[in-house]
Amino acid sequence: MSEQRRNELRDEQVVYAIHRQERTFLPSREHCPLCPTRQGQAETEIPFPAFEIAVFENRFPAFEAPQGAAEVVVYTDDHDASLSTLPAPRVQALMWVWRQRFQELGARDDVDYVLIFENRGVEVGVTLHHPHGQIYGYPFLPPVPALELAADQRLGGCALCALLRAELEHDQRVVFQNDGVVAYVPYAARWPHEVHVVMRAHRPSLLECEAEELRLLAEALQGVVRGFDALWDRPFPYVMVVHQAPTTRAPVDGHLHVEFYPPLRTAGKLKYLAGSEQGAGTFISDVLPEESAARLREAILRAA
Amino acid sequence: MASSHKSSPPPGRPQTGGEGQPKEHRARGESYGLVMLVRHVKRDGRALILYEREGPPAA
Repeated sequence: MSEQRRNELRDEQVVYAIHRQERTFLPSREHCPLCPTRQGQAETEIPFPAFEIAVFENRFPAFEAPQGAAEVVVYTDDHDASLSTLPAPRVQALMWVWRQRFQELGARDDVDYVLIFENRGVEVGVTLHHPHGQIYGYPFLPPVPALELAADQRLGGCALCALLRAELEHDQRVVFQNDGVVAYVPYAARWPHEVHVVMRAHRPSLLECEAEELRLLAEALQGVVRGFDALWDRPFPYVMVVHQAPTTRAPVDGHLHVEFYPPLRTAGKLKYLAGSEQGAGTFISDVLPEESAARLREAILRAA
Repeated sequence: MASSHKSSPPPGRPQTGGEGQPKEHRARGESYGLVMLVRHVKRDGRALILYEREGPPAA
């Protein structure tokens, strides 16, 4: 069981999950715990010879009932696939899986915030290469969604709606759009190729989306990650996070969007969080968002 | 629009699937949008849900 401690200086919770030190670390493909279980071989996390999408409770959870949840979402039984290479219908199905997990976990009294995310690449700390994401159900409201709610209050309405309008008017940082979704490098991006994939309509969460909007979201996400991979012709590491309304008992708002935080600043150089970022909380970037947006927009078109 | 999902329980809490591997797991699917889900319980008690796309299987 994890332990939470309050860091008074930072006004935040820190979670100690010391059992996670023992988690599987970059196993060989023969020992991949996310592959299907093959006849005559040891049972993996998924005791079936084939599957489409699987979700299971994390064996090394940061949170667990009755104080939250931690789940693993395996996108495919193909060890070598990625969100970029999956067939479009599979990515569409994944949107419905996310939605179903958000609904079920968010309904729990011990879950105030559902965070769906994917870490891709050893550069961001991936410990298993098999294509997968994770879901954390936090028993408290974490700082980032709390800041988003504060932004709504400060701006006198939905901050994402206002930022989306501004990006569409400016039109220099938009990298992809369809009828339901717009993707852009934000005006004040912290990461060189940070991208926000935002629903055009104000949808607090996946639950409020029409089926067609989920299809369009899947299309946009896949368009962006294919563009990432095409940018420097290499698998592009990133952290991808789905931002939605909190699931606290008191109703609160949100605007569904997906944020990508890729750590590469060039094809072979990483952006590190160093003195200014960690000590002062101020990001210093080597790349202007307009420049990275232009490169990425071209890469997305090339990869389509 | 504000939202709270606590007041509307999810469609079906985790069901007891029993240990082992159900042979006809497709037949016990629970439909949800584009996907059909089948709930299992792993040997160590952790929940496992398999999702399959309804209709023709994804390529």
